[in-house]
Amino acid sequence: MTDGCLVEMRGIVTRFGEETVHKGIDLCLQRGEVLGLVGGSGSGKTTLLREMIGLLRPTAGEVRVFDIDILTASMRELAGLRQRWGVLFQHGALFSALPVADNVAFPLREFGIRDERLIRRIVDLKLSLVGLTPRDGRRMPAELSGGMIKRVALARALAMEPELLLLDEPTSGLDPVASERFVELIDSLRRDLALTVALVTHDLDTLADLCDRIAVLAEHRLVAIGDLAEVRAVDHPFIRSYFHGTRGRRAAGEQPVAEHG
Amino acid sequence: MLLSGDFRLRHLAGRSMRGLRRQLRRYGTADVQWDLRQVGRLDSAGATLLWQAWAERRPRALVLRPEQEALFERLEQLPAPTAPRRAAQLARPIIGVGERIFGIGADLRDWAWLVGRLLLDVLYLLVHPRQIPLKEISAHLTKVGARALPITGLVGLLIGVVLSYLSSRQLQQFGGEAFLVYLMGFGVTRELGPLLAAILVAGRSGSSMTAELGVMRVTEELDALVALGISPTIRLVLPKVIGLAIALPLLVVWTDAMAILGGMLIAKAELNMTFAQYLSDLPDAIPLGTFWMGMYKAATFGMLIAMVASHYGLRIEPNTESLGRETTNSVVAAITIVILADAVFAILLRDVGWYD
Ligand SMILES: Nc1ncnc2c1ncn2[C@@H]1O[C@H](COP(=O)(O)OP(=O)(O)O)[C@@H](O)[C@H]1O
Ligand SMILES: [Mg+2]
Repeated sequence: MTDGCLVEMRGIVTRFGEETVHKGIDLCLQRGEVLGLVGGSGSGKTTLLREMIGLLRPTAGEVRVFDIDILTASMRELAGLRQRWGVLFQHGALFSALPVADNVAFPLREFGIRDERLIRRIVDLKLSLVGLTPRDGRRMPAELSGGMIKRVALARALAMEPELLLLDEPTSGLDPVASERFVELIDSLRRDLALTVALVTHDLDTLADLCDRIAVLAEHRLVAIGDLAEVRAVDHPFIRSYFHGTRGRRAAGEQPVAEHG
Repeated sequence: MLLSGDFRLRHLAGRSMRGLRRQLRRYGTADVQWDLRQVGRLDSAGATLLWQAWAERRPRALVLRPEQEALFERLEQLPAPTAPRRAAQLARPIIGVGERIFGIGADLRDWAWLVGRLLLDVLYLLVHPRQIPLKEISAHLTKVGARALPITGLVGLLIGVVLSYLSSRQLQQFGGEAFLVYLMGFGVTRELGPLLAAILVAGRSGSSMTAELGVMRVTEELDALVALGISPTIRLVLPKVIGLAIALPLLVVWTDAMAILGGMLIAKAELNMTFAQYLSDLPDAIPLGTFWMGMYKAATFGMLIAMVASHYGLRIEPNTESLGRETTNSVVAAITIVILADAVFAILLRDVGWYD
């Protein structure tokens, strides 16, 4: 593994028809780190995550996960990989026909665990991990609020004890308190379970509190990567407007400045 | 008890786990000291396995590494597992029957609601003719009418060929070849054409109408319409009903024509009847009353199919399973209702449209 890269992307180019989304992206997700991916809406963050797990083939470039080239990997290798990562999709992507508990149990049953008593308890544990009770397990996805959908989706992503966690906008649509709890939760998980996390977010507080490094996607490229201070020091229009607005400064712990001073 | 090795989810599915689990079950609740310090990797699935072996209680003597502590603390805080309710299990069949019966009641109520709603909508549109959803109606005419021409035509032609072939063989036996035209013209326009076209349309358009409404429920588009102050029945259901009421009679004319054409080909091939002969007998073979009866039937079938499809579509719950189930129900119900309605027509109109 080159310098401990858990996920390594090289020269990623992505095109949808005429539209170019990525023009040569190089990214290394190091073992044990939390990497935040930021960028404007439609800048291709979700697309990049999807390419990491082989849901989408980049037009050109190389993707290696756990040191396996997923573009050329065999079915067996891919099946092995899929047990080692957990994904939280932007809109939850819960199975609408299954109750919450079965959604979380789904990967376990697929994996071949037959002991229903054990499965039920693991599900209870995962639900409690994301702040839900076993009673919530009986509800259907359509009955859940947006925040609960995110939590259930996270519980499902954690069901297989993944080493790599990919989160697409985990805190968008949550109220500030819930979003803070979510950040604490992921922070404690990554410490307890030695997780490597890549997460897409628009939330500056999440970036400041959780991420070891931040990658900024703009103009089809990664215009900056590094810790918060390093990224903020980069001179780029997007970074200026994103990190140096009032909210950006507040998240970075600066004293509020008088706007009309 | 000294444990070592990895206790991880990865290993829990395999066969090799069996022996370990049997041992755990044997010693799980015994009064021994448990030492987990030698365990390599322990994840929450592995911890849960041990926890269950200990009957969900911390053994009196348990030695852990600090990082393992957190896992078991979390397990300790879980509420006790709820036992599945026994009585409910036994009563299942009875509950099932009850649910079925109440389900029929709810079904009828929904159906009455839909019919009433459509009537009110029609009255409303008579007063506000500007709001008649003409664009939607015309779109449906293309979708359910024009696009169905190839399949109804093909099936009509083939059935016409098969039917006239069989009939011509029978008629030949007692020299009644000349009556093939009458058999085809009368039978096809009165019964076969309308029924055939209706069943094809029920399968083809009924299912897609149900699925369309269902997906709109799943994606909350129905709620969005209501929130915008637009009546889903006027905008979505009524165009389907009117569209099919217009399109199905037209499709029936087309299906009739293709079936009769099939008969004409067979008449030539099997009975040496010329096309001119066949066609000149045709007007006599189809009494006007019978033709119009076919049209009325077709219009009724069309409305029934659209209403059944909408009824089931609006009932769909926001999940994928319900979507599949109700779509199937919709097609089955539409075809059944079409055939039932056909029987009712046959009885009510038994004296209409015969030869003078
Ligand atoms: N399957 C697709 N087909 C065509 N275009 C797509 C597809 N998926 C994404 N795109 C386009 O790629 C761009 C990036 O999308 P996405 O990765 O979802 O952005 P975001 O950064 O908001 O997550 C958008 O302009 C979108 O229109
Ligand atoms: Mg996105």
